[in-house]
Amino acid sequence: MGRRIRENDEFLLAELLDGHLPADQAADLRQRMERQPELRAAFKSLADVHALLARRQADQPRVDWRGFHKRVMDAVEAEPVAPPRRSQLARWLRIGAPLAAAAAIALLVSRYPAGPETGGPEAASSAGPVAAVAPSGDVGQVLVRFERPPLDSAGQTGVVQVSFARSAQLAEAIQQEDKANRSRPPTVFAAVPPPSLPDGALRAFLEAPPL
Amino acid sequence: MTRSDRPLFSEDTGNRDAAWVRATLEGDTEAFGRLVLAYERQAVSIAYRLLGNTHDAMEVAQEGFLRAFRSLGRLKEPTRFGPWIMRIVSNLALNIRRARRSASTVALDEQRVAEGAASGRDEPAITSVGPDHRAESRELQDAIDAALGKLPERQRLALVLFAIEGWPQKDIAAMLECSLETVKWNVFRARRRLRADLGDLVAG
Repeated sequence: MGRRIRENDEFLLAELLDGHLPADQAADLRQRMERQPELRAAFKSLADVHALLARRQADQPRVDWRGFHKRVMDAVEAEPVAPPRRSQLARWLRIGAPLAAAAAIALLVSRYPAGPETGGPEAASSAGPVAAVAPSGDVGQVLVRFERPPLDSAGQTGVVQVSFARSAQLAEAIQQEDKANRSRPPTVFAAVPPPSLPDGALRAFLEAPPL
Repeated sequence: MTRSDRPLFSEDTGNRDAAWVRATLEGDTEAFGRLVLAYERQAVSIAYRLLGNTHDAMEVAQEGFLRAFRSLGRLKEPTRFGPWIMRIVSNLALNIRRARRSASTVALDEQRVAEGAASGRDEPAITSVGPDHRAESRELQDAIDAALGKLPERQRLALVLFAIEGWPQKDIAAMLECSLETVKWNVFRARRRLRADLGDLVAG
């Protein structure tokens, strides 16, 4: 392979071989190759290696492509779950999000300060709707935000009443999550889908048409 | 020497793929079939280069498409389906290579010869190389395989895609999620090492 050449020159030779060297640099390098046999030798061995590898292109797998395609598609169609986790979210975003943004409270959550723990619905009147539901970009990341009712005279907080028309399971999961996390600030509560969220509840919610 | 500069992953193919991805996500399985059709040959070919036999290459490519189908909803840029599926397939193939290496002490070149014989792999008759039309022996071919097998994975993949599959370096960069310069550097290092390993076999 002749005398050792500089790495930079070797790189330039490779660029020349691949046709990636700008014309002026290529001309300069060719002139140098005329004067320097080690550059010529390096270029030749580089070209030989490249030619050897390029010839491998003729070594192609023998495949019945129609059969292969059918096999792949049969396997795809046998998949128990189609991929559209995203499509459901996209559909919900397209159809439901604008409505939800405007009327999330009415649709999704209403609040009653009294529940079994507080003993009466009377404190509900001043609260008004305070919830919103926003997808955060992933089907598993629906946030439910609301204000928990203030402490009543007995020092107890109310139970959040979630009224998802088509997802009782999700509503229940959110209530339980809230109960278990009363130490969190009362003004904002994020019910990011807890691991305990029942299978299918979130999807059912997303698939449900807006009311 | 001229290489094909026709891009594999162009803006047009990206937009086309994105439309098929969206259709698939809306339940149109036939749209996924079009994606498979568009990339199945490249997928099998990459796996074949990395694994050395057709059977394994088809298995890996099929598994790659299945994984892509399952994960399609998480593909952030549907226009990049092409590089993405190629990355999935090449990663699967490389995992198998690693598993083979750790599971056996058989040298890679010996193993590939055995697999080729078992699977009826077709070896093209290469009779000459370079301007000299020097006879290329089986020994040389095996030496090339062995030298390729010794390359670091990244270099090997870049070199195989560029020098054997004829991919433009820009597309390799898209697939490997790296810069064009990194691809150039990997190809350069790989060829340099190949020249050194093959020694007099390719000496000018």
